Amino acid sequence: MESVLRLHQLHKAYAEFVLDHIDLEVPGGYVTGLIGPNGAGKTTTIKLIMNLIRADSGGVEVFGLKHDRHEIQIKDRVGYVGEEQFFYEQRSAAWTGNFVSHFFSAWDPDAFDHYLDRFELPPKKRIKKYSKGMKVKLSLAIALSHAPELIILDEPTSGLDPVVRREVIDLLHRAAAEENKTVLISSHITDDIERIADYIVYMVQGRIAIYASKDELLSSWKTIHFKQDSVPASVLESLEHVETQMFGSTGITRDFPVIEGDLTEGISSGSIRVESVGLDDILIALVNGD
Amino acid sequence: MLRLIQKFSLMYAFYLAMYAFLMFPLLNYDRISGPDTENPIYIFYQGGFLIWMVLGALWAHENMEHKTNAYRFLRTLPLGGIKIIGAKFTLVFMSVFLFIVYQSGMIRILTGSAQLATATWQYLCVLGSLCLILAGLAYMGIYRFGFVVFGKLLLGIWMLLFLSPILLRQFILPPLKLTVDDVLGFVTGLNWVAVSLIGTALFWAMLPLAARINIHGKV
Repeated sequence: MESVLRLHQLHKAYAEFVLDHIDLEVPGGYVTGLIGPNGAGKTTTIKLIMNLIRADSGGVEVFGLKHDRHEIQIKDRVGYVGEEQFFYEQRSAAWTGNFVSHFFSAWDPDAFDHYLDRFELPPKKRIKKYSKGMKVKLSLAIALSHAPELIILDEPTSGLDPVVRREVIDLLHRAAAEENKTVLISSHITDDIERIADYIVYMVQGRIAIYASKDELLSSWKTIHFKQDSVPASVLESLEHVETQMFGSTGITRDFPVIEGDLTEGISSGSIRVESVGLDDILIALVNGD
Repeated sequence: MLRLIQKFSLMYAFYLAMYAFLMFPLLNYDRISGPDTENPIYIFYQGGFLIWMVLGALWAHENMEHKTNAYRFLRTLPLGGIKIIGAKFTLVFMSVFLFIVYQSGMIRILTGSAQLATATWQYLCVLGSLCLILAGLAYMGIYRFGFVVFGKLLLGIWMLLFLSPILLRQFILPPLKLTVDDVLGFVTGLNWVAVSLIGTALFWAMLPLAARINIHGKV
């Protein structure tokens, strides 16, 4: 599996936040979701990948190329939607499309018109008069209209209504599945990530806490409900955030395949119940356990 | 880069015109007050006018770019920093060059004096070089400190420059007794070709530096 994006010991320090020597390889042709609480370093990481800010140390390679020599070639092959949308706001979407078309080697005006139409963006209206969601959609339209091989999105669905949000997520899913594009998407909305991501990166306090395939993650992490004294000590040791209530206890494990055998008896007797977890449950466990 | 120059030029030209309009009565004072175009102050004003107009337009244009977060938008496109900044440097250079050509030509046409036109050309070449260097430094300052902070810094420097001659003359130095003729004599006494070449070379040498500062800086 070839990596499209490599981060090596990437480090960036601010007064109140440090992105702490992170390593990451994003595989080509898959969707990788970046999840983390506010201030975890998701946006900083994405800005560093896009060379919008400069790292203190470490390196970024996109398509095996580095920004210091190949910035234009890299950005030509990347579709980017940032956390905030910036345009010449006195201008229209049509003007913006025409303006940016001169800089992308594979700009497709028909695709751009198609996305404007699909996202119901009036092409002649001043961008200044667009809503936040409309600006996100315009950003997406630009990002998708120059045949990018890698699509990088920083909280792209945060300003969108649920219908458009679903549409955007499906669009990205199809782009990755049918057109073999690589997608790196950060979002607070774990439902979106869970829906499309093949790989998940959890970032907590400027570090990568977990990087795994979604399937592996969801099969390893489980919530265990159990009655007191119904689980062996080996299982108890692997449980995190155990909470005891009137009718029993609940804990979360990240090693379900390892402890699964020890739970069989309790499951059949009804004293133990295993539940799947969501990506946000894992995030909460990671943040609370940090 | 041509496309970027085209994009920037409309707004830049608007600001040039605006600053030119503000100073126009001063530039034409002599012509309004009488036909005394041989008066050295007539040439003297043109240097100040050039610097005022170009730096004013630069400042207003950067202010607009700052307000609209244009750099953030442009930086997401496949454009190297040097192309973005290079387009701005090119506009500054073109406006200085065109002003010098235009103004010298106008002097030649209006006065019929080749000597006066030549003197104007030489004087404006020297002042134009200074203007280019100041413009390069302004870009680097804006990119290094951000538009707002650099604006405050510049205001402080301006106040200092404005006040210091008054204070120096009041308390320390005897009056300099500099006349317009002295200043013009000094400037036209310089080797204008060498000064122009050095000024232009320094200006373009600041381009890669400004582009580098732009990425590291606060814009």
